[in-house]
Amino acid sequence: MQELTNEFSHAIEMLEGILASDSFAPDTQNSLLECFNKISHQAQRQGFEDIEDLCTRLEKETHLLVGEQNRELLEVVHLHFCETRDLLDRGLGMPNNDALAELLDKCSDTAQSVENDEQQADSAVESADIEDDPEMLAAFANETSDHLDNIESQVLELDANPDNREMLDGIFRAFHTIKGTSAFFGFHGIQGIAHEIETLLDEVREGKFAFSAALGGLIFHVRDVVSTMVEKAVATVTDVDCPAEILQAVRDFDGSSPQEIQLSTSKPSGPSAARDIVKVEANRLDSLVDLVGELVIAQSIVSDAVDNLHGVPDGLLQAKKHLASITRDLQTLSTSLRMVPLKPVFQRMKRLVRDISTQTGKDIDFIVVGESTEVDKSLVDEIADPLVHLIRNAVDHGIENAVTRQENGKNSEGKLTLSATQRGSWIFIELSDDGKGLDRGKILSRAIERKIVSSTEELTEKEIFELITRPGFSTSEVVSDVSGRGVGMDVVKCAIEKLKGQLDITSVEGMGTSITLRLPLTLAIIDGVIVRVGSERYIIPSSAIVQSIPHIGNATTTIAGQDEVVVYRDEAIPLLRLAFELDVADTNESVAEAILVIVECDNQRFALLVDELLGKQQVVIKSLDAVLKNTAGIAGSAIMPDGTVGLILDVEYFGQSTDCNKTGVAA
Amino acid sequence: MSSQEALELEDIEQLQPSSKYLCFKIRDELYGFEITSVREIIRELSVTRVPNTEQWLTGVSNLRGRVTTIINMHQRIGCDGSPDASKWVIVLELDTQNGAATVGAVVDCLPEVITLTSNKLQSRKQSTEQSNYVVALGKTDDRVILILDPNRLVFENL
Repeated sequence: MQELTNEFSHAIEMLEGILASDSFAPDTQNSLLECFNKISHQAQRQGFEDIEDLCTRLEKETHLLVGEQNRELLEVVHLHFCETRDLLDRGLGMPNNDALAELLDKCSDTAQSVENDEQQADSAVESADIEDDPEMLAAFANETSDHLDNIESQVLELDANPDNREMLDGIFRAFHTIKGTSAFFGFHGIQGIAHEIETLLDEVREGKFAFSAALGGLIFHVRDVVSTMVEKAVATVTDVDCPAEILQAVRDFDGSSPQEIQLSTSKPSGPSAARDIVKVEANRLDSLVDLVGELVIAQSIVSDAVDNLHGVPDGLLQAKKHLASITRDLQTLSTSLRMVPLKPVFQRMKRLVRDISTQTGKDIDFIVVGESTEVDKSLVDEIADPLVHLIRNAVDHGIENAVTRQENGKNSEGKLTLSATQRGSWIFIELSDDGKGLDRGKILSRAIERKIVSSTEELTEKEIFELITRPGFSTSEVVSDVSGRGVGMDVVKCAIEKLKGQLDITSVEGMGTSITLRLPLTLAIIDGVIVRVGSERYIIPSSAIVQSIPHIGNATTTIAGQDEVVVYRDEAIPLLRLAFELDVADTNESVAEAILVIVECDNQRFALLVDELLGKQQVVIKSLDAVLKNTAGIAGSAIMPDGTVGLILDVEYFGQSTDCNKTGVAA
Repeated sequence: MSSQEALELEDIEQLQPSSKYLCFKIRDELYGFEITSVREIIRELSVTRVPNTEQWLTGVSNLRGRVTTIINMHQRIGCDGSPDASKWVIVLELDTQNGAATVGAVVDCLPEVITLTSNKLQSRKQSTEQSNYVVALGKTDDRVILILDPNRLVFENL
């Protein structure tokens, strides 16, 4: 009984919110719908048929409540709910529904005709929108089919082990993602069923009932239905309606009764047409790239050997040339197999922002930086979903509406920046908004309420921000169909951790939030300058180099007898002798022939003293293995053209070591 | 003792579970790796020195396109000086917490394979001393083999 009155209180709050504001947020309708849905479930369980009937009715006609012209109806519903709650509180049942029902009839009649026209116009616009991008549709089909496959295996796992919370979260996340992406394409039928099953699964997560074979069966049915719907939707590029009986089955499911669902839809037929992409295991690709590298070296050895022969027949010379050109092509191809620019993903984000911007009515200035940054293919595949979640969160919850922004003295247009940079052996993808920022107090109290942390724990700001990435966390008051259940950040964190990356959140209340994804560069190509230090060779990433100049003729001096500085363009910059830093013994003591390589990192310039520049080279970065991974000053390694290993210097590390020196002097 | 009985004893001997060890000499001591952790044995590769690391971490080599860490067994075991000119590299596959790694251990003689039955093996009590990478002692004829744990050899006391 208490639960039912609680639901009523929730609904009343929401109605009051709508009545108080003049504008309608686009997700209002869905949250109302969800609210009515919950009440009718509760009422059904407790045998209040009147309430159940009314709410089922309201659920169907929620659209009537959110129209501008229907304030009257909204007020009636509000009043009626208030009365009902009071009666329930006193245990007296339900007031008479008739007046409300009559009004609903009237409104629904007049709205019907208008509604129809609008819907037709809407769907026409949307399908036209989708059609212009067959690539994205194929990506959607592939992604969804992956998620559906995962759901299947996870349900099987749950069948064997019903308490496996991780699997349950996994299924939930998969449906959540399907919901999000299908909403993005305007496939509302798919979105609807995914939303329903999500609600059901959420109840399981909250412990309302346990996972059972019946629920597993239901999830399988839904999975099959969604699979068929996706196939149809992708093939015809139109929204596909979900069979009503399955929707009803999901809504009616109460955890106990095993039920038979008669499906009119046939079983999914054969493999989907969208699968014309071959997915290859990443380590097989790696081995291929490695082998081709070896082939290049072997080929150059054979070449040299042939050149040193006397009286070589023409045929052999030609074969040698042919071999060289094939090897070169193969090398180009094999390295390009894995590396792709971030552009297509960022492009997708631009469109996403545009769509959410129109949906929410918030003006967004979306700035994209560094979309030509090349990253590993596997990274691109995995990074899209988390980015979608992050951007939705930023626009939905981060950036305020225009009125609030103006009140706070901000530009009415929200600013959202997505940038990608490569630093050392890491790719940084940063999404920052100038919205309202994270509310520490609210996060903490919600975390305590949801029993994620205990109220006695003392947390740093960073730890508090991190709470939003825990499963089942959400501070949003309103659950919308695009975001707000708190699974978003959970999904993002999981995906990033899977890529062995990190997620950093910084936020200033009132000023905005910035989320940085730090991802490792397992395989990337960089332009490097090869330098000689004594008898050793090192690679300095070209991106860090400002200029290289002969050392002679530059004024150098020491600070406190220790730290050397060199004057470069009227600026004193720290000088690091690489031979000393890297402990190379046999370097030129005389600096007459030495070269200064001026590098920049974190807006700080410093000079590296090397013996000679040996040339420029494009190299494939290979991370050092577990033993040497954390070696100071070394970011990674690369196979050089002569077959030996070259080490790539970690410029950032040297920058920090000059920092330390400076503070040491100051103290 | 009849010849019949002797044969049976031999049979029993053969029934003991046995494992093969790849053994090599450092000075006068005989060391061994369980053969299942050895991928291959190759002649020495050209090594790139890696700065700011332990002395015995010689550097990295290109092993068919794979950047492989090379360690000097002489220095690792604690003997001074580097091995003689003709060197062999035992390529070991490690399964670490941080994922798989390949490590080349440089020794100065061609290793040999020795089969030991389990009753000839004696696991070693772990102490707080440094040589924890010796996990067992094996006995064959008149020799004692110090069995090494590759993971501890590489990651301990880093």
